[in-house]
Amino acid sequence: MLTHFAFDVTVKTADCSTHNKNKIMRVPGALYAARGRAPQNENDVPFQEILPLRLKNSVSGKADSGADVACLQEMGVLFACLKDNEFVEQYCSKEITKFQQCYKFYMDRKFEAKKTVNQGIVQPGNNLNYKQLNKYLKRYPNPK
Amino acid sequence: MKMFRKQLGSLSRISTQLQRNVIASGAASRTAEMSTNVAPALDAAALDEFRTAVANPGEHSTLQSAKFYTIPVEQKKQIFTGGGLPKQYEQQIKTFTETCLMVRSPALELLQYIKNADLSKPAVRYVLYGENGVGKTLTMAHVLHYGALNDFVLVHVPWAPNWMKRPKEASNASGQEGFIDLPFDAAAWLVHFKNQNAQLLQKLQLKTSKEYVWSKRESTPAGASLIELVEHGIARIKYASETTAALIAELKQLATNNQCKIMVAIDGFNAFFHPITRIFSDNKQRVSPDRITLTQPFLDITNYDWTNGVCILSVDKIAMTEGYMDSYMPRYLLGKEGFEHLDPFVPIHVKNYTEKEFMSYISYYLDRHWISKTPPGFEKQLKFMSNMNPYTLMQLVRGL
Amino acid sequence: MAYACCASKNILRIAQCTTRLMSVYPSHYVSPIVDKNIQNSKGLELSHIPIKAAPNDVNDTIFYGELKQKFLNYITKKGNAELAKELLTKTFEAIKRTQIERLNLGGADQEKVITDAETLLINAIENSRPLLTLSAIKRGGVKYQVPVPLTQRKSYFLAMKWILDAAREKERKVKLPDKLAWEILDAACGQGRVIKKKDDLHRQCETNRAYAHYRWS
Repeated sequence: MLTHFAFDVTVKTADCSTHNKNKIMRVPGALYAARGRAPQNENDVPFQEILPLRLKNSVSGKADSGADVACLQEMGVLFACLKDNEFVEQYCSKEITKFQQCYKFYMDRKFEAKKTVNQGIVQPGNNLNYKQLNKYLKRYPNPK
Repeated sequence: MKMFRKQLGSLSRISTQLQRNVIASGAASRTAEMSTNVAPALDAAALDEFRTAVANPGEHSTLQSAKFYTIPVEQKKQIFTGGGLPKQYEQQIKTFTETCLMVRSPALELLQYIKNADLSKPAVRYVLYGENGVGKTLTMAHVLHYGALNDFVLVHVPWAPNWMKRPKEASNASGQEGFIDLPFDAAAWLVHFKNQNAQLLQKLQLKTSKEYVWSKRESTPAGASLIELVEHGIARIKYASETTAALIAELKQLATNNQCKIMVAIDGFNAFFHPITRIFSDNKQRVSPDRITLTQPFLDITNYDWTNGVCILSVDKIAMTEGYMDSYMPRYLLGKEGFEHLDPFVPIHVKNYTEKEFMSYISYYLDRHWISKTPPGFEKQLKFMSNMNPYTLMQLVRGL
Repeated sequence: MAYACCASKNILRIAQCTTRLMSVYPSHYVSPIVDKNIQNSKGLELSHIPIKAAPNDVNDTIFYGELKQKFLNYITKKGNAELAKELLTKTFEAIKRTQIERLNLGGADQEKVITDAETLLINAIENSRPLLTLSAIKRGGVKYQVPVPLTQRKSYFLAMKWILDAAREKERKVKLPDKLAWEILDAACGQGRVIKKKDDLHRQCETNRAYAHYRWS
């Protein structure tokens, strides 16, 4: 959950008495390096809450899609075989069927996974997908 | 249609004659069916069941009906090089590497008539009629084969509408005012005539009866052989039409004098009476067929004022142009003029396949590897789809 | 999804579902069965289940083949299926003519000559199906051609498309059915442009195999 903060970024040469060194900040010049960057005055730069400073009651499903890389090894074996046989497929039928089976298995699994996700059955455990999480969050929303 | 019936009614003589013939042909086909029920048991053992070894159409009888006979290559070449078989059938012949025709009841009927005809009487006109794609042309081909084997001089026009619909060149006739010549088509027909009859003409030694003067320098003397006449027409395309007229007049006379017998076969005969052609005169007027020099001799030879000949004519819907294709009956297609020209004639109705013919054709196709999808009941499907129409069946089977 | 769950509970309460399906049929409708034999055996089972209307391009005759119908759809331009059908029929005719002529010419391998055009079409498509394809994936501002496995559907699509493309690439005087017949005959015996195209693709995939782990993420 990302919450956003915004500051008024007009730099003001205010009071320079503080010697608090900001270690993260890159040092732009010798002058600043000696004294360090002063924090903003809260009165001069008032805090604005652009997005609410609270967690939302839902999560997005983007991260769940995961990487799509599958059957790399089978593909490698297939390529090796094809190259050895000058790309005549009938000599590599074993490798081809293996590769296609692998891909089919992968796709089927993906399809099944999507189906179970879509069903959204809530079960206890820590490995929950976004649909399940959303159901939980709906039932137990963040306190206001 | 209404008009058609009215006119038919007024010509009551003709209508009764027509009916009589239909009844006669019906009876003939009935007898054919009866005998076919007995036939398969007899010669099932020999050859394939759908073939017959009898290659002479003169010997064909109901025993051979619905069976295929093979025309030898040379004879096919002699008779059909210049046309006479439908284009798609030619293609099929090429693919199947054999010229097979099915012995069908209309051809048998026609052959029986011709065999029993008294040639000393005026020429009898037989008119083949029927729906599109029903086998009129192939019936004619069957009879032509008979004619070629039995020393008939063949006067065969493979497809008359070609002259009216897509002439190669049209020019004004030199002899007659207001007439149109089709020199190339006439020459092509002469070549076709020569192909079909060269051997026979050699044997018969037919001579011309009078001198033909083509121009100041060119003439064919009396007593020249007919082949010379034909060759002159081919060599001098300009006079091809006139040569055709002369040739046909000569043939008619020779036949009447009992020197030869003639079989006239004209496919799409009704084109000679259909006023709409694609030939235009100099002043951009449509020329009707009676103004074409090539029409006259063929109308002349289909008259009954000569003996020793038979005329087999077919009337066809597709010989007409759009808007004139409502019925396949001869009276409708020929019009009043044409009908009166041919009257009296013997109508022969060519119909769709019978059950037996259909099955025979299917087994022929199977034998030639033309149908490769044979789940149980496929014949039934084809029968239903094609309504046992030969052409439709041919079209359906293409993609199987 | 919503329909599915509702439908399983109570068909009558479908109207309450909020999500809409793209289909005009509710999800408890079953597809019609084309094959007559299966129809007869399943007749009782289906007697009380609502069935979708029959599609008009499927039938249980000798003229129908599943892959043939699919191919027919790809030939069709601007919905002119009639023309497409005619073209494919002519193609089959041309194929049959060449094959029968080959058969009649004789030779040792007479039994090997297939005269069934549809079988040849299926063989041609099967032979032209690619295993992998290249897909452009952007990584760090650079586009990489990454070999990606293909689903069965997609590979059939590509095979048919290639055959048709090869057939359409011709001189104007040559008719499509003739060219298509040649391409199908070629591909059916593992030669020709389509097969070469597939092999080229495989070769390219092989040269780019180092990028294989880059697939979608």
